[in-house]
Amino acid sequence: MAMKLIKSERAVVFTVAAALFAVVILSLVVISSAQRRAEGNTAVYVVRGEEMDNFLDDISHDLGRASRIAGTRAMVYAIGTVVSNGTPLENATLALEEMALNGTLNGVEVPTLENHSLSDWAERMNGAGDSQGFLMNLSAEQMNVRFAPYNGSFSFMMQAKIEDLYVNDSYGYFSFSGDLPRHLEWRTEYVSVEGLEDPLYVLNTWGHVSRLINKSVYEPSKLGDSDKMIESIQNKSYFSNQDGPCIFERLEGKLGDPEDSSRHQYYIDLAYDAMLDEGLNISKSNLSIGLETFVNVNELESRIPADAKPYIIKTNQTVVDHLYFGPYVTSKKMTNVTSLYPWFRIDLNHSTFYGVNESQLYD
Amino acid sequence: MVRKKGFVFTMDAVLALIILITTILFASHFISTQLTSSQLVYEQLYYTASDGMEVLSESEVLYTIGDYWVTGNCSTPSDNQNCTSASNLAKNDLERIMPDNTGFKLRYGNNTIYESGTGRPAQEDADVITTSGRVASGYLVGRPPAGFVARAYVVKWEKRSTTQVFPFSPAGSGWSAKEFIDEKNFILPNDSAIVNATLYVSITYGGSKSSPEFKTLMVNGNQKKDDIDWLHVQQEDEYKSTAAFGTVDITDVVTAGENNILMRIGTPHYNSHINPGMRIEIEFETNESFYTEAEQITKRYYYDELTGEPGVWAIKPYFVPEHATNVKARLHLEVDDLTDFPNEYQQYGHYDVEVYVNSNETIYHNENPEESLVIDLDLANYTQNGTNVVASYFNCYGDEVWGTKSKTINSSSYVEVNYSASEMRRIGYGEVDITKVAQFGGNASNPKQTDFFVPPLESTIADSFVHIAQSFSYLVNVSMWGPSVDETIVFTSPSSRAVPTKNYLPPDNLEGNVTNYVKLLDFQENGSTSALNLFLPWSAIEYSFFAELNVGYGEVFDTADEAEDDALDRLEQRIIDYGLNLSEVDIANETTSFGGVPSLWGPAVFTLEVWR
Repeated sequence: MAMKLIKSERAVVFTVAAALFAVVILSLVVISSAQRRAEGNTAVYVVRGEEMDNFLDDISHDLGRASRIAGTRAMVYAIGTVVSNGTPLENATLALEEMALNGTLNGVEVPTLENHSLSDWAERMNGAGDSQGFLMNLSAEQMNVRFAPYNGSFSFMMQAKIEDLYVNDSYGYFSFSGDLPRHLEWRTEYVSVEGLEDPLYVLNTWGHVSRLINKSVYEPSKLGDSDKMIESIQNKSYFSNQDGPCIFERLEGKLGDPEDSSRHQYYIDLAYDAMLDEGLNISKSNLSIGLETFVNVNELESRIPADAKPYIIKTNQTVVDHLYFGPYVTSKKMTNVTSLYPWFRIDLNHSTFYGVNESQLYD
Repeated sequence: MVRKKGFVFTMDAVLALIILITTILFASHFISTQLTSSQLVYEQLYYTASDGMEVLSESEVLYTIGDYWVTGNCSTPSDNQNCTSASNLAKNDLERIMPDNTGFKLRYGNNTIYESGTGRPAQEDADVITTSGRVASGYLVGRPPAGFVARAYVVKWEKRSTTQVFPFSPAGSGWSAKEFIDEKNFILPNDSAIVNATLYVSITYGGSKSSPEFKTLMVNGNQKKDDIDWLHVQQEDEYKSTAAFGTVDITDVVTAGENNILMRIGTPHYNSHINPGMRIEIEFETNESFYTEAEQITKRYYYDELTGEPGVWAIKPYFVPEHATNVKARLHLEVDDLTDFPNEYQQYGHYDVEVYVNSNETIYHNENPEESLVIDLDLANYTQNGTNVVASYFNCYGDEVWGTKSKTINSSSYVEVNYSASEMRRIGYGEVDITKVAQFGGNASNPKQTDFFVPPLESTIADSFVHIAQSFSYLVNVSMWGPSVDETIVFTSPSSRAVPTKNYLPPDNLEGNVTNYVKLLDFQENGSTSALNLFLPWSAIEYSFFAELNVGYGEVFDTADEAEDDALDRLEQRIIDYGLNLSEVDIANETTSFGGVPSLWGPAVFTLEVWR
C-alpha cells in the first residue's frame, strides 16, 4: 500500500512538472506574441511620427514658396502703386511687409493682392493640415516677415517665420508646439528684381518714361571701353554700385548716397543684419546694395510734355540716374560717347567706377 | 511493472506536450512573423516614399514637374507636350532612386503624373501601399505659375501730331482805295510734316462782293486769294465795304521752317482791316518739342509787318495767366513814315500817335511825332491777369484817318511779358495736356452765347480761351458763368476795335463736370448795339486741361499680350471717363509689361505612392 502510494506520487510529480513546463512554454509563446504585436504598433506609431515631422517640414518649405510669391507680388504692386500715383512709399519695407502679410497697404485692401497674401496662405495651410489629420490654428498674427536688401543689388531677401505654432495629431499620438522653421531663425528667400519696373526712374520722369531693371552683361569697370559704354546706354543697363539706391530706396524716391545718405545707411544696416542671420558676414563697407543706370536725356526730351520738361530735364548734368535726378554735380564729357550722345556727361567718381580714364574725359 | 507503466505515462505526457508546444510555437511564430513583416514593410515603404519625395523636393524637380503640369492644364501624361515633359522628369528621377522591388506613382491631386511600369510590382498585386505627400503653393491647373502684368499710359510727344494756331490780331487801315498790308512770318519745326493747314480769313475789304479790292493773299509766294471759300459775307451801306469770313486750304504751300504770308487789301471809301477771327491753323507732325520755361516765364508777342495808308492801327493782345505773379511787361514799337499832322486833336479828338493798354485812356500819345518813331514803354502798371490789349493808332482812330503816305509798324515791334509761374497750376505727375476746341455754331448774331462741358474727372484746367470771329466789330464784352459761378465780365475792349481774336477765360471761373457758358457782346460806346457787328458761328472755345491718363498694373495674365490688351482697355475707359473721344485725343498709347509675376494659388498636393 505504501509502495503504491509512493509510485502514484511520482506520477503526479512528473505530471505536475510536465504541466508547469507546458505553462512556462505557453507563457513564453504568449509573451513573444505580445512583444511582436507591440512591435507592430510601434511601426504605426513611428510612421505617424514621421508624417508629422514631414508635415512640419512641409509647412516650413512651403512657407518659403509662399513668402517668395507673396513678396514678389507685393513688390510688383508696390512698384505699380508708386509709378501710377507718383507718390513714393514712406517706408518701403514696412509697406511691403504689410502687403505680403495682409494684402493691404496702410490698412486699405489692395485688390490685386486679394487671395495672394500670407494670411490667405495660412488659412489654406490649416485646411491642408486638417486633410492629413493635423489640427492647427495658423494665422497671420503668428507670422513674421522681413524684407531686406541683399548684396549684389539685383535681388532682395524676404524672410519669414511662424511663431508659437501648435499642431495636434488627430490620433492623439503627437503634438507640436514651437516655431517654424525648426533649427533656423528665418525661412529666407532671395527674390530677383531683374525685369521689374524701376520706380525711381518713373517717379523722376513724372510718369512719362519707363525703365525695366536690366542687369548689365558687363562688369562696370569695363565701361572705359566706349563701345561697351554706348551699348550699356542703348540697352538701358543697370549696375550694382555701393552709392546707388537699392530697390527699397527707389520705392521711397530716395537717391542713395550722398543725397539721401542716412536712408542709404539704414538699408545697408538692414542688409547686414539680415545676412548675418543667414551666416553671411560681409562688412558693411563691402556691401553693395545699390543700383544705378544711365539716363537717356534724349528719351526724356521726346517723351515728356513741354510743360514738365523744365522741372525734369537738366543740361550738363552727370547722367548716372540717382545723381541726374538730384542736385547739380560737376561732370565731364567722354570721348567717343558724348560725340554720339551730346547730352552724355559723367561725374568723376563714377568715371573711376566705370573704368573711364581721365584722358577720356573733357569739358 | 507499475514503475514501468508510470514512466511510460509520463513519457507520453511529455511527448504529447512537446508536440503540442511545438505546434503552438510553430503556429505562433508563423503568425507573428507575418504580422511583423507586414508592419516593417509598411514602415520601410513609408521611408522610401518620404525619401523619394524629399529628393524631388530638395532638387526642385518636383516644382519643375508642377510647372509643366499646370501650364499644360494636364490630367494625363499624354495630354500634351507639357504633360509628357512633366511625366518624363518624374520618371527619370524616380526610376533612378526608387528600389527595384517597389512600384510607385507620382500624383498631382487626383491625377497621375507618372506610374512605374513593367519590371516593377504592379499596384493591384501589392500587399502594402504607403503614401508621402508634399504641399506646394503657387499652382493652379491651367495657369502658368508666373504671369504678366501691364500698365498703360498716354505718351503725347513721340512723333506726335500737333496743331498750332497763329492768330492775326485786328489791324488796319488802308483808307479810300489805299492799301493795308499785313506781312506775317511764322516758323514751324524743321522736321515738320504738314498734315493740314487752313488759313481763316476775316477781313473788311472792297466796295462790294462783286468788286473786291482784295489784291493779294500770298502764302510762301503762292497766290491764294481766289481759292478762298467764303463762309460769311456781309456788306454795309454807309461806306460800301464788305466784311467777309472764309477759309482757304494752304496745306500744299506751308512748309517746315520759315513761312510767309502777305496780304494786301483795300476798300474805296472805308478802312480795310483784319477782323477778329483771322488765323492760321496748322496740324503737323514733329519730333521737336516745344519748351516752356520752368518758374519764370518770358514771352514775346511780335507784331506782323503792318502797313496802312494813310494811317495804320494794330491791336496786340498778350496774356498773363491766373495766379501768375511778379508780372512785368514792356512794349517796343518801331513805326516808320509817320505824319506830324497839325491840330489833329482839335480836328479829330485824337493825337497822331496814341497807345492804349487795357483802358480808354492813353498811356502814351504824341502829337508831334518824328517820321520814324521808336516807343519803349513799361507796361507793368497797366498789365492785369487775363487778356491784355495794346491798341496803338498812328494817324488814325476808329473811323477817322488823317495824314499822307503809308505808315508801317515794323515786325521788330513786340510786347514782352515776364512773370513768375510758381503759384500757377502746372502739369502734374503722369499728366498730359489735352486741348479741346468747340465752335459756337448756329447763326451769326450779337450777342452770341455758347455752352461747353468740362471733363468730369478731377483735372486741372490749364488754360481756356475764346476765339472771336466777327465781321464788323467795335467794342466787345466777354462774360462767362456756370451753375455756381455768377456771370462775370472777363474782358472788355478798352478802345475802338480793340477786339483780340483770342481772349483769355480765367480757369478759376470754370466748373468741372457741368456745363459752362460764355457770352460775347459787341456794343457801342453809348451802350447800344450795331446790327452789323455780328459774331460768327466759327467763334470757338478752346480749353486745355491736364489729364492723368494712365492706369496701373492690373491682374496677372498668362501672356504679355493679354496683360497689355487689358491695360489698354482700362486706359481707353479712363479716357472715356474724362469725357474724351479717343479720336479727339492726339496721343500715342504706351504699355509697360513684365512677366515672372507669381500667384499664391493652391496649395497643390503632390503624393508619391509606393507599394510592394
